[in-house]
Amino acid sequence: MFINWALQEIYIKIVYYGPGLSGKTTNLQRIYNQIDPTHRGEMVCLKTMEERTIFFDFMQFELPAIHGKRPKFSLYTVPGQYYYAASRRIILNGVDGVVFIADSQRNRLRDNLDSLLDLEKNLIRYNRSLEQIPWVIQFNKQDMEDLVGIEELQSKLNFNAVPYFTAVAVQGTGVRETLKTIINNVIGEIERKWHVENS
Amino acid sequence: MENPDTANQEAKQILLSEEQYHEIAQELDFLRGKLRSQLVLFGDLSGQLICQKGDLPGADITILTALLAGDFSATTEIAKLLGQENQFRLHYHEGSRSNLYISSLTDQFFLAVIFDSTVTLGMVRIFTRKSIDKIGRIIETNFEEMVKISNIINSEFKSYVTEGLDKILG
Repeated sequence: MFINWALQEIYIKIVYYGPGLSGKTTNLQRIYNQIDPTHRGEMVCLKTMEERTIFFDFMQFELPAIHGKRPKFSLYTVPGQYYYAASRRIILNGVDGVVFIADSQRNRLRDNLDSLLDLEKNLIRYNRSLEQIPWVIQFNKQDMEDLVGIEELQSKLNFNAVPYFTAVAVQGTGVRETLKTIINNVIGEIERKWHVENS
Repeated sequence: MENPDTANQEAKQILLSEEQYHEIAQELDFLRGKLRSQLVLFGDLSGQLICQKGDLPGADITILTALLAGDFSATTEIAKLLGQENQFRLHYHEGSRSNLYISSLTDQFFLAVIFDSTVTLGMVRIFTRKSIDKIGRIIETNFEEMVKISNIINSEFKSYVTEGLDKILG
């Protein structure tokens, strides 16, 4: 979070993390398409010739002013393939909340777990951890065959019992709910940290 | 042993006061005038634009800032791989019509200058260094009237955010 008091702007950074091809970019594209263009900037995707994310995707949107204050949200994705570890670490700099996009197919279970461990390892580089940062998990690709059941996904991946969502991001299902929840949890964490008293 | 890559997230500055912002803006204006620069921008290495002077017609400066922060951080990683811990404090990209000079300020901020070929790199280095030092002092200053976070994000904030999200996402 960063607050520019002169401009009354509050910046919050959300990172979409997860294994390659789990649907991180698709989530961002759906959000980009749903938001009124007057409230968002352009989306940038840094990708390879094979249409895979090579560094990050990025978009920023802002909410209507709240008593003159303007909350702005930056959404980033990371490249999922294992050899882009350094890029993922860079993008986590200054993160306020993480959306972990898991691929619900059985043959991706190991990749999901590896990616979660990689996320924890990278957060530790910034003296942070999954225990203390707001994060949510999205079980994506629910339209595919040979899925892992939600109970098993929960027991194997959601070890912090964070909010979870089932999704078919290509159809937009579960995308908005995931975003709304992570933003709510990030604001909740800011309130807790800065002792904002609830009326 | 302490990991040299570890950055202390808690030590990051999260609030810029009105005075600090205006003083930084004034310094950017000064730097831009000295270097006849098309655009001078000050950002956070997490990718957030903090202040800009000048413009690049047709370019989205928010995206530019995210890319500059990514570029700078990626080169810092390269420096580490080459055993050059903390050695790459500035980058210079030479273009056919304009050049880009980026310099970091602490581990959190950076200053980028876009200038044309009529200005020498030596001048850019000298004036950017001076501005970096000055902005560093501005940021370090403890203003008495630093605003309390709880005055900005109060108990109503969360419900307004939820309402706002519903409005723009449907």
